[in-house]
Amino acid sequence: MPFALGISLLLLSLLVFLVPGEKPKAAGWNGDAWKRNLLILAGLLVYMLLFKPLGFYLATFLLMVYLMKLSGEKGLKRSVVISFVTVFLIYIVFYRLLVIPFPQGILRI
Amino acid sequence: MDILQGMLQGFAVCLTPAKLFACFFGVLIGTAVGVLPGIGPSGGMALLIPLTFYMDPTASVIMLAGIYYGTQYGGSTTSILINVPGEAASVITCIDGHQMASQGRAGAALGIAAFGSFIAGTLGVIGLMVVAPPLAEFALKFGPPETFALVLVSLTLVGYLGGGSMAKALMMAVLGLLLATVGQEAITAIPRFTFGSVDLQSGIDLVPLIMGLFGISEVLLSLEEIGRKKGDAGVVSTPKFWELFPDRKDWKASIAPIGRGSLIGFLCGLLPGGTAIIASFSSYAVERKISKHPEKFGQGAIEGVAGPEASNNAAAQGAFIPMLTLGIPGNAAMALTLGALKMHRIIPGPMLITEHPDVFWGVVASMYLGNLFLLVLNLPLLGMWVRLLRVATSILYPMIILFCIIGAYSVNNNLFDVGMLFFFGGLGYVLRKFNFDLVPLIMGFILGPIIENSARQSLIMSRGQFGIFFSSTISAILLGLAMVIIAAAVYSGMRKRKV
Repeated sequence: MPFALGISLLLLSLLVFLVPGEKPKAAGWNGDAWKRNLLILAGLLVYMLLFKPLGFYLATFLLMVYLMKLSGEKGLKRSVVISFVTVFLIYIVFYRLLVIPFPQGILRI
Repeated sequence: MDILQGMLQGFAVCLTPAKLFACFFGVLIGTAVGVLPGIGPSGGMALLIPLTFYMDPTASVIMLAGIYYGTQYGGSTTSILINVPGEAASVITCIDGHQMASQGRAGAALGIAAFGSFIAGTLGVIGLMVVAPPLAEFALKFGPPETFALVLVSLTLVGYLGGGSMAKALMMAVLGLLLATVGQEAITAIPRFTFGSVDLQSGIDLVPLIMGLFGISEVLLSLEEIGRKKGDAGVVSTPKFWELFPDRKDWKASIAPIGRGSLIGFLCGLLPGGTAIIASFSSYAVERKISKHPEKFGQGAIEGVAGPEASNNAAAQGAFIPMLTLGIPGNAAMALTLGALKMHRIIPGPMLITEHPDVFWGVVASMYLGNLFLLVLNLPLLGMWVRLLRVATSILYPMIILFCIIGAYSVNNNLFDVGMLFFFGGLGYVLRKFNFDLVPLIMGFILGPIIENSARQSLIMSRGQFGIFFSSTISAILLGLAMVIIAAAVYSGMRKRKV
C-alpha cells in the first residue's frame, strides 16, 4: 500500500510539475517576513535540545522571551515579566492543582 | 429510536453541570478563536483536544462542537468592525459588513449576523436531528466495499472542492495517507516507517500532527503580517448594546437570505469537503444573483451579511452529519472531532446512534443550548471581545505556541511528540507557502486507516477479486461517482488551458 501511494505521489508531482496550470507563486517567498519564521523554527529546535538539561520551566521561560522578542515586542522587560508570570501560572496549575509533572532540569523546579 | 425519545435523552444527558460547562466553555473558546485573527476553528479545537483526555466522550464532543460552531459567530465580529476576517469563512462578511459599519450601521450588522447565525444554527441542528437517524439506518447496509467506495468519493471530492489545483490537493491527500501508514500495520502488525524508533511504533499521534499543521503553521503565517498590515481600514467604535438590534426594515430584508443561507449552508455541510467557507461564498453569490438591487452589494447590503452568516453556521451544524452517522469526516474540524472520539474508544459510524445514544443525542441537544449561549455571548458581551483584540499580537502568538507545546507534550508525556509538533509546524508552514491546501492532508491521514482496512477486508472477503467493489449497487454507484468527479476535474482543467 505505501508503495502504491508512493507511485501515486510521484505521478501527481510530475503532473503538477509539467502541466502548465498555475503561475509560479514565488511571491510567498519575497521579502524578509519568512526569515523571521525561520528564526522561530530554529529557536524551537534549540528549545528541544535544551529541554532535558534545563527542565521544562526554565527552557519554556527562555523560549517565551525569545518568541516575544521575535514577534515584535520592544524592550526586554515586558517580555521577561509576562513570560515569568505565564510560566509561574503554568507551574501553579499543572504542578500544584493537577499534579502533572514536567521534566525537571538543573534548577530542580 | 424515536426522535422525541432521543431528544429527551439528549437533554437529560446534557443538562448536567459537567456537560453544561463543557458546552459553555467550548462556545466561549470558539467565539474567542473566531474573533482572534490568525487562529481558526481547527487550530482552536486542536489546542483543546488534550483537555478532552480528562473528560468523558460526550463532554469532549460537546466542547469541540461548541468551539466549531462558536467560531462562526465570533468571526463576524472582527470582519464587521475592523475589516479583518476572524477566520476564513467570515471573509465574505467583511465585504458588506464593514461597509455597513463605516456607514454607522455596525450595530445592525453585528445584530443580524448574530441573530442570523442563531436561527441558521438552530435550523441546522433540527436538520441534523431529523436527517441523521434515517441516514444511519441506511448506512447500516454498508459493508467494507461500500465504505471503501464512500471514502474514495470523499477524498476525490475534497481534492476537487479544495480550491486550486486538484493535482496538488490529491498530492496532499496521498501524503496524508502515507503518514497514516507509519506505525504497526493494523492486520499483520508489521511495523512500517518506524525507523526503529519506539515512539513511532504506534504511529504518528493525531494531536501533535494537527496542532503543528494547523496551529503552529497558522501562527507562523500570521506573524508574517506584522509590520506589513499596519493600517486598519478605519477601526469603527464598538456599538452599544441597544444599538445591536436591527430594525424592522433590516429584518424584512434579511429574513429570506437567512432562510436561503441556512439551506445552502446545511447542504454544503453535508458534502464531504464542504466547508463553511464554501457555504458563505455560495450564499453571497446566490443573494446577489436574486437580489432586486445587485448593485447594492459591496456597498453595505444587509443581505450580504445575513445570508453568508447564516450559511456558515448551518454548514457547521450540517458537517456533523456525515461524521456522526457514517464515520466520515467532511472537513478538518470534523476529522479532529473524529480523532478525539477515537481516543475515547468510540468509533462514529452507523452504530453510533444505537450503541451510544447518549453521546449522539447529548451532542445534538447541546447544540441547541450552545447556539443560545452564543447569542448571549455575542451580543451583550461584544465589548469584551473587542478588548480581546487589543491584546498585542507579540504576546498572543507566543502564547498560542506555548499552548500547542503543552498540548502536544501532554499526550504521552513525551518530548518526542513536541518534536513532531515542531516538525509538522514547519512542514505545514512550508506547504502553505507553496500553496498546498492542508485539508486534504488531514483528511487523508484520518481516513487512511479506514480506507486501507476496508479495502483489505473487502479483498479478504472476495479472496482477492477486485470485482467485489462493483458487485453491490451502492458501491458501484459510489465508485462511478468518484470517477465522474475526477473526470470533471480533468475536464475543467483542460478547458482552463484552452482559453
